[in-house]
Amino acid sequence: MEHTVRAYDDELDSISAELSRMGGLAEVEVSDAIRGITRRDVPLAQAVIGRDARLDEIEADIEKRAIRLIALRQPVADDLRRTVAALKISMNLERCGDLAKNIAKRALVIAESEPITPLTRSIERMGELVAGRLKDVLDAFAARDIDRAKMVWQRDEEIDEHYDAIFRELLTYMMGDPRMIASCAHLLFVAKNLERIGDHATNIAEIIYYEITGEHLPDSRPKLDSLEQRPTPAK
Amino acid sequence: MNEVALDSFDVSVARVDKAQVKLDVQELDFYYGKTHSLKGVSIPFSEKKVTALIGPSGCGKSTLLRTLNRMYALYPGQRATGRIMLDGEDILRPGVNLSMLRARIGMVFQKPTPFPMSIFDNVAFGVKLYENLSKAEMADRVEESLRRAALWDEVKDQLNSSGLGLSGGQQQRLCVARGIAVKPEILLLDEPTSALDPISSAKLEETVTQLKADYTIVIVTHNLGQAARVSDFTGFMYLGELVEFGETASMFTRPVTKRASDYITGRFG
Repeated sequence: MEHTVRAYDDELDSISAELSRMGGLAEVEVSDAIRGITRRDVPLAQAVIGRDARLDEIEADIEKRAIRLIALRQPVADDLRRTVAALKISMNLERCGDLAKNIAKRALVIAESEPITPLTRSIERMGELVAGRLKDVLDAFAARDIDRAKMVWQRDEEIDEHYDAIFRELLTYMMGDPRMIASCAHLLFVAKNLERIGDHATNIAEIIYYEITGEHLPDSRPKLDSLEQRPTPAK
Repeated sequence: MNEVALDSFDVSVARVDKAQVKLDVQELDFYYGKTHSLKGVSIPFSEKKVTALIGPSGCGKSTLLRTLNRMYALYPGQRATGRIMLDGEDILRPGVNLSMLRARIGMVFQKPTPFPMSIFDNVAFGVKLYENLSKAEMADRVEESLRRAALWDEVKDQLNSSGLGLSGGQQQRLCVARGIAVKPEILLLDEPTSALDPISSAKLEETVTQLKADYTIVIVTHNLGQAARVSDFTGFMYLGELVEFGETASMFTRPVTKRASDYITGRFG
């Protein structure tokens, strides 16, 4: 249902539109950064670095619009949750952009050393998983789909497991051949950055859940056997 | 796995701790002649808390307020059925001493209504009806009441000038002082700031917040921001029904009925 004051709807909608645009950009930044690493694609990595400023600009713009809306319209209930969610999601996306940029910078360095094919594959698999989560959560945002958001939130552990595996793998390589330490150290940071992008996707899932339901997801993730349970609003 | 969407309840009345309830309205119906203007309203007013009643014009919030001290009994053809329990005693039953009831439940109206007499006498007038105080005691009572209404500092040097000479905001706080001078237990405020400027409104809101320490307060307001600022509980009424009642913070962040949500977000009608 529309607000009696229609300009209010226009303002809320424009914030959502900016956020969708920002989500699309962040998604491309992350997947291109991963490709920069796995395909040793220097021009692509440079493009990722160059585009990051755009995300910062959109974040600043969303913040400006949201603050203005809070000051002038004093949103409550779902309008308030939507505005605060936009602020928080844009912060998380901006951080994803920073991490992608950092990955791209390391891609430039790694491209200059010998390729370590098996490791690159592990990073690629983890990268696909993380990029997929980010895509899922942004789709959940666009479709206002709480089930999908919750799925992202429940599956963060898989990303953590990948990170642990890569960590051990890298240690093995570094112990085996000290000449590989430099590029392995970079790859370790790449894996850590991917893991953090996964965390941001999880944060965004939590924010979407709160925005739509008005309730917070519990602090700890449920075990698999209790996945079907969920808090219901008390009557 | 179906999520329960918000706004999915038609009516939602949160439970409150019965031991904290000062005034408990149960299944109240009210009629202006043949017009049925309150329909089965049950709402608890917790002791030493502020409860705000909101809703569009004609929803019954002022009517509900006027039943709480049986103000309606002044008019023929108006009647209420149901129960309004004040400390466990039904104030709607016949034989209730209305004059004593209104000493326990004070009221401040939309427009300031000072008596055409001095500031001092405005406050002392009601007290004289119920108590026999010495001159010194009365002076103390007047000062205390004016202080509590956050008016003392502004009028202490002109207690003998007419109450009508005060500004609108001061007159309204004078009415609050007059209301609390008789030491009621409950204070009913009917849109007390609708005729006031923002500064005077803020002062009155601060007064309400201070008074909460000793009084149970019910405030009817059209200003949603005011309801959010001063109240602990909020009741949303529509077409004579209580649609949603709950903690104010909860109502303004996640209302659970569609009608309350549409109203407070400005989507109504």
